Amino acid sequence: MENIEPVDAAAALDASERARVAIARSVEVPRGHDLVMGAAVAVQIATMAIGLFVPDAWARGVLAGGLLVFAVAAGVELLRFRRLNGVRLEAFASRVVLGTDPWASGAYGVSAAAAYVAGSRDLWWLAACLALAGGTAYALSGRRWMRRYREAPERAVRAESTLLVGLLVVVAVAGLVLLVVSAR
Amino acid sequence: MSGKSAPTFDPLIHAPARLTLMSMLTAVSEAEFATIRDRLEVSDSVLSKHVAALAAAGYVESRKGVHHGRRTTWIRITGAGRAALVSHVAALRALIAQIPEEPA
Repeated sequence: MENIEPVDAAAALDASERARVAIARSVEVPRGHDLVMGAAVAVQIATMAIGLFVPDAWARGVLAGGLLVFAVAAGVELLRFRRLNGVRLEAFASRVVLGTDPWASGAYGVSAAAAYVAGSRDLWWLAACLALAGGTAYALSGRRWMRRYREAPERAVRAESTLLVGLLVVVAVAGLVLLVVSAR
Repeated sequence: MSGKSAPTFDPLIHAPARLTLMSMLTAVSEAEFATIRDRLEVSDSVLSKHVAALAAAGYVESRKGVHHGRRTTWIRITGAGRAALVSHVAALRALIAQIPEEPA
């Protein structure tokens, strides 16, 4: 350590910090990502409301189709993100795509619950509007997270554990199954 | 007492390319070999040597994967690597703090 000049140490630190900031700022979201995820979430919310309150058998298919649309959109967007940037961000996957960011999960929860209530009262136009609002808010929360990541990557890059995300998915699916069963 | 260990200068990280590589890896979960190579502006063989040295110390992990349809290597920093980097950066900052301020 005694061989290192403070000036050299400062230069090395400065270069490494610039490289860290540069790689974070170079990370891009795939073109149309907001539209794809917002639409997928809107479709999922709307189809959930239909699946829960329309008593016909086709409605179950619509509900499953909505979940499939979301799963496919999420998978495709993660793949596009990795191909575009040459990096993987677990926090992007969990917070932006799967919506574990508090703003995304809050927007999803509120709009899904409101669409559920609107569907139960046959206000399908309102359910559609709420689904669109939920999808829009979900996409905007993703933009917000990206801004935070570019400003402070070392803090924002931390993601929930795979176990926690897995548990959340299991709880969400179980909750949906319970809703479908109780709606019969 | 803070309970934290004293900052430690780590000769394995001190080489500029390795310090930069480790710092970049703290901003992502995993980075593809060519992406890092292009950012560091080094050759494949130079980057391979740095990664091998850091991996031998347990500071980074690498795995084989696919990118743009080609087989490639993905690299991530480990918990031990992150701790070593934090300690090394703290040691460098302590050294920088020794620079006397210029008189006004």
